[in-house]
Amino acid sequence: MPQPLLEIRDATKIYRGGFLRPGQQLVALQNFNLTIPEKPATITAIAGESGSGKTTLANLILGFISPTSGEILYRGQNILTMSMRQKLEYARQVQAVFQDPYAVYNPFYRVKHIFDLVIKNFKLAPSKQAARDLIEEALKMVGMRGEEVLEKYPHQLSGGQRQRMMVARAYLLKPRLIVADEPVSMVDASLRAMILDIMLRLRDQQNISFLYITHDLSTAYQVCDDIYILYQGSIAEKGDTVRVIENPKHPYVQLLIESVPVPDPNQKWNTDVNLPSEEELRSQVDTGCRFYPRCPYHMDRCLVKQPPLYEIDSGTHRAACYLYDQPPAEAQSGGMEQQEESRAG
Amino acid sequence: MRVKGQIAEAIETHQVQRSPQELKERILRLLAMVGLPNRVYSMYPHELSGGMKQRVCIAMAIALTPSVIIADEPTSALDVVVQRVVAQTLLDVKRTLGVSMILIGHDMGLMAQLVDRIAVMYAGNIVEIAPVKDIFAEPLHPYTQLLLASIPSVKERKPLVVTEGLTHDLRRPPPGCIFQLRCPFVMDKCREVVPPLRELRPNHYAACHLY
Repeated sequence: MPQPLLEIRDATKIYRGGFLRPGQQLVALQNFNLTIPEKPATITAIAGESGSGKTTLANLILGFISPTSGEILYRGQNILTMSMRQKLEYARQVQAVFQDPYAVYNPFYRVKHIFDLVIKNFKLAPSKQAARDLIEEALKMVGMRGEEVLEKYPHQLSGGQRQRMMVARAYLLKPRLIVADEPVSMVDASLRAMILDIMLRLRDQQNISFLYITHDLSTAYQVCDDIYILYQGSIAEKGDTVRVIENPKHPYVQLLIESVPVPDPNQKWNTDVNLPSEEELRSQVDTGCRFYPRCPYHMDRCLVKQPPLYEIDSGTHRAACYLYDQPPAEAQSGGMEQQEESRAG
Repeated sequence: MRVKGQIAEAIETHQVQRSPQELKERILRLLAMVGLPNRVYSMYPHELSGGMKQRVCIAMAIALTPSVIIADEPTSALDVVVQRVVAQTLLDVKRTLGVSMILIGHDMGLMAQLVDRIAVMYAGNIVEIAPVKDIFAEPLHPYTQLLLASIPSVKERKPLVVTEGLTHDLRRPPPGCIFQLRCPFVMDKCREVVPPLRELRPNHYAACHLY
């Protein structure tokens, strides 16, 4: 099997201290595995609620924090043991776009500053003209023109424009992977398609892969090839996006998809949903399935040990739920009743 | 400041309380009304999840039994499941207290689930007002049509509808219709005359020269 672009092996991140009382810890991410192939370029969704661990994951991949255990390998090289030169190269090849198009700009500088910094730090151009050409090319990729925007201050551009410029800035370095952490959630709904469209074009025309981190399943469904759905630090379900969203297996994922408001006033939400009054801080790594309190199908064994990812089909679709503790052929049709039967028989 | 202090402050600013015990009971009742457990009373905001914080805000808003609540993007920062709970709380509050609400937002899916009537705004102008079912069944203003077309769904995968954003400087709006620079049906008249908001169907108003 060819070496993947990015491989995360059993990554776990546990936080201690800070606002937590002494002795208390927060398991933000637990035994997380992910593979992004070298080619073709893909857009992978990491979806989850706040507290699911998705931002922790982004920070781990970008090297802002290190895992408590486990490895992150970029083209076979562990990012923790990279030399300074390798780290710089990694920073170039793995870029980021963040959620808040307001916070990432220094309001004292004109927006061209974000490009100037990059070109200077990575020595991308030998002359002012060459630099300008590079910037124009990057802006063109996101549908903007230098003369219209470069001399402006951040407050003079819309959120959507600022976000597009951030994508242009990332693209400037011709990265292999862009980690986009909720890139459209603070952008007006009618403008989101434009940014998602840019992502698709960068994937198809420039071979850039994306890790699209979001809590919005609708946009993930529209643009992503694969999806990983996190629940309180663990993968609940993963696989081909269309398959997972059209045929969700994990009870949490079923709840999630059912909760997406349907834009049709004639199809209102059916049943009331109950959240336990508080998401308890997870202190231990192995206390069984975290979704137990909310799960309509919970069983005793769910409390004992966190379920592993079971196969749902012969492809990449997997769900971490004991309901599927059977070979795919039997688990697929009928679901609940069939499993109850075979367990009783 | 703990939750109890935040809610107490909202109440005490407007009403003199007879006793601390009464105030406490009132706050506990408010928390129960938004589905929060008693222990939230003594908690700090950072100890609460996003959804819980939002429900505390709803409790603060209903504390003085208002006749209108203005909810400005109340669920934008929340994930889909929590959003549903907060939305449900708002509906319950409306029902039990008889409070009217103005819900400001851009999630048409959420609007479809929650509201009775929608007013669509563009660049500072109301361009369409109608009962929610009519807006979805027959959007009249081109901007409304664009808005509805750009809603991503989880039911079917379709090509993205890419639209340009605000294209005019808000300090210098164009003469005539505010939407002329983006409108696929723009006519000469649109560039000169501001279309008035007129009732085009029963209870359904739109500001557009097409009609």
